[in-house]
Amino acid sequence: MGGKNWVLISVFIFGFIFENSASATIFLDGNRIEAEGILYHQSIWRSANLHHEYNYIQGRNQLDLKVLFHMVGENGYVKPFGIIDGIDLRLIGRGFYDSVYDVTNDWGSAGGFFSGHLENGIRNNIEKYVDLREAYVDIFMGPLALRVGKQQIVWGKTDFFRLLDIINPLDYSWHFFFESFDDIRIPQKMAKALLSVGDLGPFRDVSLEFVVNPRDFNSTNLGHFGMPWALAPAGFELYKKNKPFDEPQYGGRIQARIGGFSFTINDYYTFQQDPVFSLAKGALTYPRINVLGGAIDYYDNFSKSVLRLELTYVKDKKMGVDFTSPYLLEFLTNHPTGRAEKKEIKYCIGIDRPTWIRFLNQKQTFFLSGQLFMTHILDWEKAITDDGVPTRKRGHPIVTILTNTTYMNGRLTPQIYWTWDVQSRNSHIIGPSIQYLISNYFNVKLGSNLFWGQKKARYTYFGAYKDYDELYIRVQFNF
Amino acid sequence: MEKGIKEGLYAFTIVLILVVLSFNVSLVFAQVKTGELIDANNWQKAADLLPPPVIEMLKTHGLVIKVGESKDYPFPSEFVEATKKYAGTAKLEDNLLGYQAGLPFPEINPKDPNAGIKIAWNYQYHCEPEQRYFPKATFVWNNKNGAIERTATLADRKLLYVGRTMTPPIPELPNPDGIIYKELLQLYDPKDVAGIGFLQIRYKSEKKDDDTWAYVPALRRVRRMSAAQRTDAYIGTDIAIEDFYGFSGKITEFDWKFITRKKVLAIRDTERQPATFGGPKYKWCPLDMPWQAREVNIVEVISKLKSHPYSKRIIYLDAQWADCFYSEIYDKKGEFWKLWIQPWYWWPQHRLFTYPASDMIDFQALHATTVPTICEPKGTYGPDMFTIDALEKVGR
Repeated sequence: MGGKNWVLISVFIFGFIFENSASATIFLDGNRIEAEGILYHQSIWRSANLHHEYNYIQGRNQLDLKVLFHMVGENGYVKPFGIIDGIDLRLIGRGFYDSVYDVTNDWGSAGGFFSGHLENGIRNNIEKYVDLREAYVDIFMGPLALRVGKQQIVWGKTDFFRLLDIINPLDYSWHFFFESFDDIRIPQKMAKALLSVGDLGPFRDVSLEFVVNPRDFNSTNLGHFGMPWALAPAGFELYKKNKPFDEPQYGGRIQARIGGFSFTINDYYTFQQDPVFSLAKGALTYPRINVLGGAIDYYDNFSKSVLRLELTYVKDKKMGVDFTSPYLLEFLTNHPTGRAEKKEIKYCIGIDRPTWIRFLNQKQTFFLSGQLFMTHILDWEKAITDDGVPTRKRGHPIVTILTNTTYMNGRLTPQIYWTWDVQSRNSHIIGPSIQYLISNYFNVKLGSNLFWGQKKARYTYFGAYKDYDELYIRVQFNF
Repeated sequence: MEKGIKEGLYAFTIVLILVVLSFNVSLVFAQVKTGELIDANNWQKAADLLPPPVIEMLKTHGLVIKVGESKDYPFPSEFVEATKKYAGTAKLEDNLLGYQAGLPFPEINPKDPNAGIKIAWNYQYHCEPEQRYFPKATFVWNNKNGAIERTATLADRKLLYVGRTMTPPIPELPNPDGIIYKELLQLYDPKDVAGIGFLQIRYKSEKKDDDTWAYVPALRRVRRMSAAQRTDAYIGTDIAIEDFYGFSGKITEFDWKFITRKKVLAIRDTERQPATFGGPKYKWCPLDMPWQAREVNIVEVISKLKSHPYSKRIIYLDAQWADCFYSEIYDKKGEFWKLWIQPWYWWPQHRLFTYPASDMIDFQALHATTVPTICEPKGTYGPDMFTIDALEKVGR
C-alpha cells in the first residue's frame, strides 16, 4: 500500500478528537443548520483465488459532507406560513482521492478484462474528484411534499440487483456493485411530488408519487479502459448526459396497504442505461423504454417471515446480438440494425426471516434473506443478448442469500452473502465480512469478495470475473 | 332491589374501589421512614419492601435509596367516568372482548383463578397518555468497569386508538382495522443508525402479529420487517423488544398467574426528567430519586412457547395505576438474569404519568442499558403521521 493515504491517518485523528463528543451531528445557528459526514479509507487487494500475487487495486479516500438548512419551519429561519409547513435545503458534497493511481497504472496479473495502461489524462480525471453530489429543496405543504434538485429516488424492494430501482443509473467504475447503492447511484436533476392521500375504501396509507427528469441522462458508468474494475473495452464512449428538454424521463407510482399486504404499482418512461450496439448507427445507443411494474410484500404470521415479490415488464426492450453466436447471420437477416425489440419480464421472489440459531448466538437472531431473480424474454430468439450477456429461452435465474447477526451488544457484525448465477455452471460470488464499531463514530470493516466461475462460459454475469477475488479493509469515521 | 338502585350501588362500588386504591400509598411503614437513606449498610430495613434483585443492587451495586413521602395520585376524572361507564363490558375469551375505555377490571379478587390475566389486561389498558411523545430518549450502554460503551438517541411518538378518555374522539379513533396503537420511532444518533425510522402497528386481535416497517437510510427506502422476534435485543442493547416498559408482548401468548399483592418501594415520581443514573461502582443505579411505598400486584408470566428464551418473568404492577415498576427476567435454566426498573414522572397539569427513564440490568453479564428520557404526555399529531409515506418523510 502506497500513495498518499493521509486520509487514513486523518480518520483516526478525527475519530479520537470526536470520541467523547456528546453528539455526532453538528448543529449550528440555533439548530437551523445540521452538518454531518463520513470520512473513510478503503484499501482493496486483488489475487486470483487468493493464492497468486496480491495486487493493490484501490486506496480510496472519501469525504461525504451533508448539510441540512431548515429554511422554513418551527425551527427554521422563517416560521411556517400560508400552506407552507416547511422548506429544507440539503446539500451533499463528495470528494475522493484514490491513491492507487499514484502507485501504478498497470495492474498486471490483477488486471481484469479491460486492464492495461491507463493514460495520464484519464488517470488524472479518475483518481480524484470533488462534486456537489446532491443538492435539493424539500417543500412540505400538508399532505404534499415536493423535492426538487439533484437527488436519488429509490423504488422497489430488492437487494443486490435492481428491478424497479431504475430512476438513477449506477456507477460501477470503482467497485462494480459491491458498494451500497446509496453510494454508487448517480444523482440526477429531477423533481418529485409525494401526495399522501390517506385511507381510501379498503386501502390504507395511500400515496401518489410523480417523478420527472427533464433532461439529465447518464448511462451506467462502466469505467474507463485501464481501471481495475473497467467493464468496457477501449475506444467506447460510455458516458452520455444532458439529453435535450424534449426527451424527458417521467413516471409515477401508487403506494398503499390492504389487509396484510403493502404494495406499489409503478411506471417509468426512461432510457436503457446499458448500451446496445446499433449496426445502423455504428455506435452504442440508449433507446427509450417504458418500465411497468409493481412490488408487494406480506408478513406471514405462520412462518414469521416477510414475503416479497417484485416484477417489471418492458414491452420494447432493445437487445443486441451475440457476435459469436452461430445464429448471427439469421439474426442480422431479421434485424439488419443489429438490435431487436423484445418483451421482457423480470421478477424477484424474496423471503426475509429473523431466525434464532441459539448455539451460535444467545442474544440476537440471524437475519436470513433469500431472493430468486428471474429474467424471461417472452418473444426470445436465438443470438440475442440482454445487457451484453447471451440469453437462453428458458430464462436467466440468479439466487442471492444473505445472513448477518450481531455480538458484543451490537458492536460486532459478521455477515456473509452468496450469489449464484444459476444459468452458468459454478458461477458464484461469496462475500464474508465483519464490521466492528470501535465507538459511536469509528468503525472498521474487513471482508472479501470471492468469485467462482468459468471465464469462457457464455451465459454468465459473474463467471468471467473468476480471477477478481479480493480482500478489503475499510476504516470509517462518521460525524 | 330495584334495577336502578342495583346499578347505582355497582357504580358507587367501582368509584369507591378506585378512590381507595388511590389512597393505598398513605400507610406508614415501621421499617423505613420518609427521608431515610437505604444502602449497603442497612438494606435489611427494606428487605420486605423490595424485589430481591434490587436488594442485591443495594448490597453490591452501590444503589442508595432515598425513601420519599408517599403521595396520592388520583386518576383523571375522565378515566374514572369511563371505567364506571364501561364497567362489566370487557369479557375474557381467547382475547379481551368488548373493551371500550377505562380500567377493564377495576376489581381484582386474589382468589379469582383469572386474577393474573385480568391484571394483564389492566396493564394493557392502564391510564396513560393518548398521544405520548419522547423528543429525546438516549440509550446508554454501561459495562461493569463503569464505562459507557456507546450511546444511541431517538425520538418516539405513540398514538392510542382505543381506550381514549380525555382527547376526542372518545373512546376510540375511527378504527376499521382494530388497532390498539401506532408507534413511530426515529433514531438520530449515532451516525451508523441515524435516520432509521420504525413504524409499528399493534392490533386488538391477539392472533395478528404487529405490522412493522423500517426506513433504512442506506437503502433509502422502507423495508417490511418481521415483528415476530420480540425477544431479539433492540439495536444491540440489553433490552429485548418484548422487555420494553416491563412487558410489551402479546398478552395471550403467555400464562399470567397472580402471586401476591404487597407493598414495595418504587420510583412512583422522579420529580424531574430526564432521570439520571450512576453510582460509585456501576453506573446503572437510579440516582437522587424518591422511592415511595406503593401497593403492587405481583404476577408471574410464562410464555406458552417452549422456544421462548425466558423461563419466566415476574412483574410488579402498581395496584392502582396498573403500570409496571419492575420486571424480573429468568433464563431457561430458571436462574435470575435481568431486571427492568421503570421510574415514572408525574405531570400534575395533565394528571398523567410518563417515562423519565428506563433501566435494564443484566445481572449475569454485569452490563446495563439505561435510558434517560424526556417524555411529554401530549402531542399535536394525528393518525396521518403514522403512515409508510410519513415514515419515508421523517427518515433521511
